[in-house]
Amino acid sequence: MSIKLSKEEILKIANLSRLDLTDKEIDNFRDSISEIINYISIINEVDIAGIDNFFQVNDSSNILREDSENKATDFELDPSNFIDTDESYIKVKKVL
Amino acid sequence: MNIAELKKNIKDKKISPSEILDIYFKKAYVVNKDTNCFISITEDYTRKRLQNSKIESELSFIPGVIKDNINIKGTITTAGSRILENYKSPYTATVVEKLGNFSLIGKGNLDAFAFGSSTENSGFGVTKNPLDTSKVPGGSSGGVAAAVVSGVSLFGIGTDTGGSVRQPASFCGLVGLKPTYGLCSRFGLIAMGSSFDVPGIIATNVSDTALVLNSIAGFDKKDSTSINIEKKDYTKLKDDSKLKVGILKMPKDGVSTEIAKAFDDSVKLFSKLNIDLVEIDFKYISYSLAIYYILVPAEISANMSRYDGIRFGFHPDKNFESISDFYKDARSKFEDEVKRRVMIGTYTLSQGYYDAYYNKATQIRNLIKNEFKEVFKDIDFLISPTTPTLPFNIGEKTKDPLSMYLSDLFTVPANLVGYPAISIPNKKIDNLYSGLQIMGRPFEEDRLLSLSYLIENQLWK
Repeated sequence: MSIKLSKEEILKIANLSRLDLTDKEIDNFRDSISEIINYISIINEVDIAGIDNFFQVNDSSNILREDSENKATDFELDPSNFIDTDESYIKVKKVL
Repeated sequence: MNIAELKKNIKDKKISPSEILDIYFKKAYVVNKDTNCFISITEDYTRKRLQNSKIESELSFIPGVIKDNINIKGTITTAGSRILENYKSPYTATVVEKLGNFSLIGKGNLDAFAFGSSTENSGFGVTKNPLDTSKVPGGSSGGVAAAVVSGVSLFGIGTDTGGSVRQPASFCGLVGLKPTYGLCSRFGLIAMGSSFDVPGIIATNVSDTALVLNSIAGFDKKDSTSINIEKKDYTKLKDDSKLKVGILKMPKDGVSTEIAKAFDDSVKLFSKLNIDLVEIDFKYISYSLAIYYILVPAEISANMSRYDGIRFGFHPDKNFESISDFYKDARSKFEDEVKRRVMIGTYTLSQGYYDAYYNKATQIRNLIKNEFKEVFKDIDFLISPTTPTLPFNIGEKTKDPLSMYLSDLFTVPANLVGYPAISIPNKKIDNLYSGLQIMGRPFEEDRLLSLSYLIENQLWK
């Protein structure tokens, strides 16, 4: 069964992704994303009953450090990376 | 010229560090004009940095190129995207720190945020394959590979999430190594798929690759997925006897006849070397690409959420009525492929689809991991072609993203399971290069490189 995403579905995903799309982009992404979703749907054939999820290849978890004062990184804030700064603040545009 | 030769010339004072910079920067501007391999050429930065510098590390003064999604303080790091066009790195990636005072020639072009297999998705123009400028150099580390094959750098550091080091290395006739996940720090790499990403090496031969790995490998507390294991000297060749090598059973379709033939020749070579060979038919490996293109876009959609117009890169310079409109305006700077992958990831993670796609893909990833563990109990290495086709034409696959994704067929499994894999150049076919991929057991890069050294010398006999 072949899936073709509707224009509304594309707009919904775009909104969740915080993306504004032009009409041309909507058409383009409808085609290409539908094709890709159809391709990845081959995983439906696989029986995964009782199989655990797997997220990390090195089986490591909860890497903790001593709770002591230390400098995390040699990080230097470059004011020119932001619209505007004011001493220790980053100034942003008004959203109202 | 390779790294060992240049090192000797520096030591014997046949060439001075400033002469190296003069020669390589001069060449960099010319090569960049023809191929667009660099997003920035870092002459001012490097000359200043190496002033009064002495030989202090394995790679002192050796010219290198770093993919532009790796942070180096004092340079602009764009990740190949217009949204980070003027982003100044606030710190330096651990792998770059570890290289010491090498000569940074430039920051290599890439598909925006490393999303691609041809370097055509860059916000800063396509990189051409220096060996045939009508062809792509591969990707996403295409700029790095193009710079190394053009001789403007003797090595390069890229990133490999699904083949982005091995595939461009194969398209440019170079060696490309994707180390085991956790061997080399990811700190300072701009994240794509965090459970897949690793920094990798592109060089002209196996010995140089081993030398660079000696520098960049090692535990880093700044990367919580970094693994603390005993340090090895990768330049020391291991004499492995009684090797057993698995040959990946070729899929029914998708592999070109030229590649199938080149791979047959490699297999013959292994049998000539009296290496035990066995064909391996995985049950689940055929799902690798599908689960890769579910899990990686899912991780991408989360990782890309930080580009909000406030913290990094481009800032909309006007007032908006809603914060959502502000975000959307900033994110309009994303290239098409970035938007596409964020949307695929958002879709497969969204309500109603999470179980069918993301959740299920993590379970199949488990099946594949277990299958690899089982198979590698019996074999030491697994060989396959690096890519299913020869280098393709610029523009050939840009209209069809799925066909572009399929070019990662042989490279993604190593990232799904975190195993190390290397691509070694085959002899040219129709004047174009392809690669032989060898995959090894986790953290056995020393054995992988030793076998690669042996094969490299045989392949070119």
